[in-house]
Amino acid sequence: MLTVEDLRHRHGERDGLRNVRLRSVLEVAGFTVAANETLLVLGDSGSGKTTLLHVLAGLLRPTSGRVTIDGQPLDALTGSALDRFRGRTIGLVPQRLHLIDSLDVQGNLRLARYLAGLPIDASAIQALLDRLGIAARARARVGQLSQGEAQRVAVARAVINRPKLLLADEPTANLDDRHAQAALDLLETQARACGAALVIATHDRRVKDRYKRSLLLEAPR
Amino acid sequence: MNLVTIAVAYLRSRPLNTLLNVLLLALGVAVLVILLLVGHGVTERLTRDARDIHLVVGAKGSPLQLVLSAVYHLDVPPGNIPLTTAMQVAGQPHVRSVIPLALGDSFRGFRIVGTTPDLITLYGGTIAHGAAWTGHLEAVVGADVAKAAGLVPGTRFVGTHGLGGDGDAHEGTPYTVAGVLAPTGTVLDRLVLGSVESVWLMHMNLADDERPDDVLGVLTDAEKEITALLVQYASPLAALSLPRWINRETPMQAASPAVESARLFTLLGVGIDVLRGFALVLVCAAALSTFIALYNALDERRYDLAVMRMLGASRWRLLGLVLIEGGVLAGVGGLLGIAAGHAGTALIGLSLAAGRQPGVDALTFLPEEAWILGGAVLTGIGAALLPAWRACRRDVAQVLAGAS
Repeated sequence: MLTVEDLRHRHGERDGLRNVRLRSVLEVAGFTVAANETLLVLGDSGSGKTTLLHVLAGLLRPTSGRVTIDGQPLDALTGSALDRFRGRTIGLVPQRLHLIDSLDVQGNLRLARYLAGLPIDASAIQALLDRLGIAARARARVGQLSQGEAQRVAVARAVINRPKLLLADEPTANLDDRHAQAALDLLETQARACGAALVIATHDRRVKDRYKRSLLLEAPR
Repeated sequence: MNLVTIAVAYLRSRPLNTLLNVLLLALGVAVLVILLLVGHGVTERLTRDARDIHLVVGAKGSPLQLVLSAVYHLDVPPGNIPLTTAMQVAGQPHVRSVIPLALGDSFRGFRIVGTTPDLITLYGGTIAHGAAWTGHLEAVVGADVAKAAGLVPGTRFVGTHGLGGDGDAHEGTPYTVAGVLAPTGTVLDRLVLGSVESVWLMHMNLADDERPDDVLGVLTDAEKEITALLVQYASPLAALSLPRWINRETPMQAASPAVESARLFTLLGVGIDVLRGFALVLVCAAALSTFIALYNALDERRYDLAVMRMLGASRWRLLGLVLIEGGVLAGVGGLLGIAAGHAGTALIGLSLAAGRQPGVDALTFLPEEAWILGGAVLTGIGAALLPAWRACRRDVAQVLAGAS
């Protein structure tokens, strides 16, 4: 479902006034995550976890290497075609969730359907919210949600288009043990429901034992 | 859901900012619309009032004053002319008809005009109640006069000297209402009409035992004066020779309503241009304010915009979204401004009506208003151009990475 080959990303940094120095921020040898499988990406801050997620999401083009999702190499897509592919095939739950606060809960889900160019089905949205236990909050303003509810809405938004790849950035940050487990359960259940490959990036060592497969990222020298 | 609903949802979530920008633009548009409507109303009214009057003949003085007093009844007349001299004009070639006017008195601010029934015909007036005047000191009153003073056929009223309404009352010579005119939408609605002789009688202080016909009989030709003569040409050729003949060969002057009202509009034009400039400054201020609001909001909204990209929106959708936000702000402001402009025009119309001035119609919608609205929307979209371009160019990964 997700295949990564020899990924490397360098980032230009200003060194002094004039010189731009390229610094390597990500080096990954290669891995595969099949449908319904979960890969844990472990690493400290600055190890390139977020960069890797952005490369996998097609938000960032790597300096070299190749990402293939559902048989589609990302580097073959450009511009609007890449945006559309991302909207339909990849779900991302960012660490800070970033729900759109000018829309209510169901509006955030409708937005995900609309921006991916998919038909908006109100009953499907309600059914998903129902499965996530937040059906009653469908009309609530984003600002009125509790942290747990907001995370559920962010997960709902990531899976509403039934993606092939679900990405989660630090889903357990700032959560106590019980809630961290619940958040991971939620991600796994939803990824399975779509038959998606799940990639979770975290520095949280509490969750390490839970997964068979993990990738340890280290900041490149 | 579409880009417009997303834009509206965003604007609604920042009511104060949105309101400020909408109101600022509405203010500018309202001033433009008021200028347009009042200008249109006044122009149309003045054109209608002067429609079939080709020339005005009166005492020497300012031609503009002569036209304002004899056609629009807005100014005092420059003086009087002897009836016999004036009537020489009727005998000139290419003259179809002449209508004498004797001014000098008023009733509650409405002018009393000594004339012939031809004046009613000139404006296409019809008598709604009663009949035309037949004898002395009988009057036919315009629709506005009848309404304002509650006059019906048979009512007696006393005119006052002068045009302001605070002169001496002519107690000895009360008028009797013979008829009331149907509304015509012209200056006729605000006039009190009677015979020329009635106006003369009012100024002769009739004693109780004197009969009007006896008194009028003693008037010499030199004492029989009128204020002005409205002339209709039989042929355009008259315009070439008649005014010149009057101005050169008689102690009177001839003035063309068309020329004088054009001159009046030129004089007023400066003031209107200043107001229009002021309104455009307001519109520019609104555009600047919209620009600043959208530009400043880009930082605050960077995650929202990045998340939209993450959800599959292309760069161009974000560009479109911000442009639509500018357009929606301006569209709402423009519509509100047009509504406020009509309301303002209605208020101006009310205050003008109280001052017996040519009315303006607040319920007329002019095609130019569509242009104003279109211009406003384009201004809003223009103000959003740079913010939209920045939203479109922004690196999504960098924004999202900056947050974690």
